[in-house]
Amino acid sequence: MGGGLAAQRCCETLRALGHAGPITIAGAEGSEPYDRPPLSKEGLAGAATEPRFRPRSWYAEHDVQLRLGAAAVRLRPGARTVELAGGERLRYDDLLVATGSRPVMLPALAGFANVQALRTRAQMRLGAALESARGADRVQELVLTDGSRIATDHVVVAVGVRPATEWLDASGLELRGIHTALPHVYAAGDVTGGGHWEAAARQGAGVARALLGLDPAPPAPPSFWSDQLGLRLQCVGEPAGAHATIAADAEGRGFEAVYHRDGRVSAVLLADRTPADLRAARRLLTPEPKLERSAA
Amino acid sequence: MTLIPEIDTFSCVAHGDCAVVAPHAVRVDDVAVVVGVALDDALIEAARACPAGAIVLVDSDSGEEVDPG
Repeated sequence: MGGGLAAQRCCETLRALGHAGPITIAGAEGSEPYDRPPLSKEGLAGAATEPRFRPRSWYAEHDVQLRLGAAAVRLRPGARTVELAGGERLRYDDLLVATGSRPVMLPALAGFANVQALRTRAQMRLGAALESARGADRVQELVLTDGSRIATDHVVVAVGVRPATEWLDASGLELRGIHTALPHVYAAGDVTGGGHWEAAARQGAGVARALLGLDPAPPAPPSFWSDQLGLRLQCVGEPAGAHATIAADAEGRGFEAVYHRDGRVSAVLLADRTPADLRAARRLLTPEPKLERSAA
Repeated sequence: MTLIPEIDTFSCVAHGDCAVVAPHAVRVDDVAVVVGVALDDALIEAARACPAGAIVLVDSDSGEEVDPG
């Protein structure tokens, strides 16, 4: 269940590894699985992008059934079925829970026509939270807890996400990794709290390997990247709670931050650095990576 | 100079930007795979585009890794 990156990657890995059995991707959205990061970058900037991972024809060519607009409302693990909105029940041999997450909406802004949620975080003003929003059908003014007021034409809310797992509430299922307490039920992507593109991709592929009885891929450190205003940020490791040593370029916007915890490097954050720099950072956190020379 | 691309399969997460930039040289399955040749400029652009830094370019004459910058 779910039509995002994790589901797509699981599906592609299954086919790449030779699985010939039936696969169904069922998701609440009405389009084929698509890549979300560009929507808040190139998409907002007005650039023409193709967000879909694969064209519609790919799914037919790889014998993957798409059930679009199929929102799950309940998991019935005993019967190995997922109940959809409308009452239909999908039976599964193995189930991947990959229903992603939803952006958090501030209660004071709910219902206004000119409020848009983004799945990224931003700081509007330090030390001042939103107290209320004023307007009729559109927000015209924000009132902050420090008493200040901000006139606005449009509001972008970017205060994080919550896993979209309400349909699992009755099952009591906890999602912390790709394996769950229920037989034949796996999880990947934002529902596990991973929160980043690379985690979803690796987990989706990991579920495929687990379904086929293969050994898991070597563990990789958490990592993410983001392109912000033309600046590429890349992070490997766990920076939270660690002490950072920052080396900034004398000119330009680039920098390298090395995070230490308990006397060891726990993460490296790079801005405007080269691929070789990123690989060097990854080597600080992991054993020598395997290089595979592919024949041309 | 002729560049040979190698894929750091540990780092690759199959984002696919490389295959967009150099489709004749790289195909993306569960990870990227080198499938053909491309001009050096295209390979350099593909290496720069990879958000995981997973494309290593090697100078075929010297065997040395080339930084795509």
